[in-house]
Amino acid sequence: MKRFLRLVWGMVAGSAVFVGAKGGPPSPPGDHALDFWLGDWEVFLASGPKDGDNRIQQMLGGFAVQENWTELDGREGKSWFYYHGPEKRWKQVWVTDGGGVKEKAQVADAPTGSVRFRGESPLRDGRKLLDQTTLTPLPDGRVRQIIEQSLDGGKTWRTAYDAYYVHKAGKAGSNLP
Amino acid sequence: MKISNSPWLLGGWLALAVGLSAQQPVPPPLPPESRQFDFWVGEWEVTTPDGKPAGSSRIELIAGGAGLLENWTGYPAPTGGSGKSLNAYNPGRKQWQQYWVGSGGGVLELAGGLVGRDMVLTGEHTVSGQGLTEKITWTPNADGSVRQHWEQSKDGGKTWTDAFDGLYRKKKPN
Repeated sequence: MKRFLRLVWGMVAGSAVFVGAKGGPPSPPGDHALDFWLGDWEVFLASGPKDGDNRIQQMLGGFAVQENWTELDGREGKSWFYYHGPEKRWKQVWVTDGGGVKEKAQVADAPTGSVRFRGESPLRDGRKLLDQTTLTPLPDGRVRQIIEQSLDGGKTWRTAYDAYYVHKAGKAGSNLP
Repeated sequence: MKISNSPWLLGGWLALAVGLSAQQPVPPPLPPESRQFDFWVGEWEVTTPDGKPAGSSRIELIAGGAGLLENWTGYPAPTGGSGKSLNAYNPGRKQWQQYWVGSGGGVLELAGGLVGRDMVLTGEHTVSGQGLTEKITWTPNADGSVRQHWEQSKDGGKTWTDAFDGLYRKKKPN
């Protein structure tokens, strides 16, 4: 992939997204949209009980973030958030140990202070499921994650998940090695 | 996140429809297709067709075997660059998908599947106003090595140019 890397390097360095990086390596996206979510977290349902643990790691110099989710019963999911230079937005792909794959992309209609990702997935019965995740940093350092789903193209939404992320003790802060 | 919200598994309505509880103690079985790319899993040294070092890579199974994570380091490190990809069979779209992010921020989104024994993934994107088709073919060889052949087309697939041709050989155990 070496030659490819050089090629891509040239591609992104020439892109308007990376203005200011001329002559050197391109800079990671400057919006730091997901920095508040980096770290080791315990995740609690809004109804109270703990639901799992999540580790959100920055990688590839800030161009991507990996989510490592483990439920209390040991089930696992991983997701990637990656910055898509030409589209000038973050995108997400989510893979679970049961074989599920979901793709979402950052949308602009998030409430102020939140980031939101939305995607459409085919269901077995042919219907399409619209699914959106909203992440909101709270003043006390927690992060709230709400997942909503719609089967009518976004006219009506049902909250499928509502949880609070609490930094693990001694691991406050957002930067992982 | 919440695994049971994954639509292909047990999304809220779907769970009701199939009469399963929202919480599953064990994951449902992975589709058999999830095993089609296992020949790429391992610790590899990668060489160019003329035998020169191109880099090294570690391909690992993730999420209970549902996905493959590629960790590429180009030769010589670190100036050779690096990158990672997430690969998974998407049962909803009935195809393999790869998401590649290079250390320089380049992104590739590819999709495809097995063609014979080869894994063939393609994708289209626009680079500086020019449409570009990417095609990467992974071929498992009889000796356990894997060839990764990367081609690009600027004319919608009529003609192809090599972008990379690497031979993956398993690292010898220490």
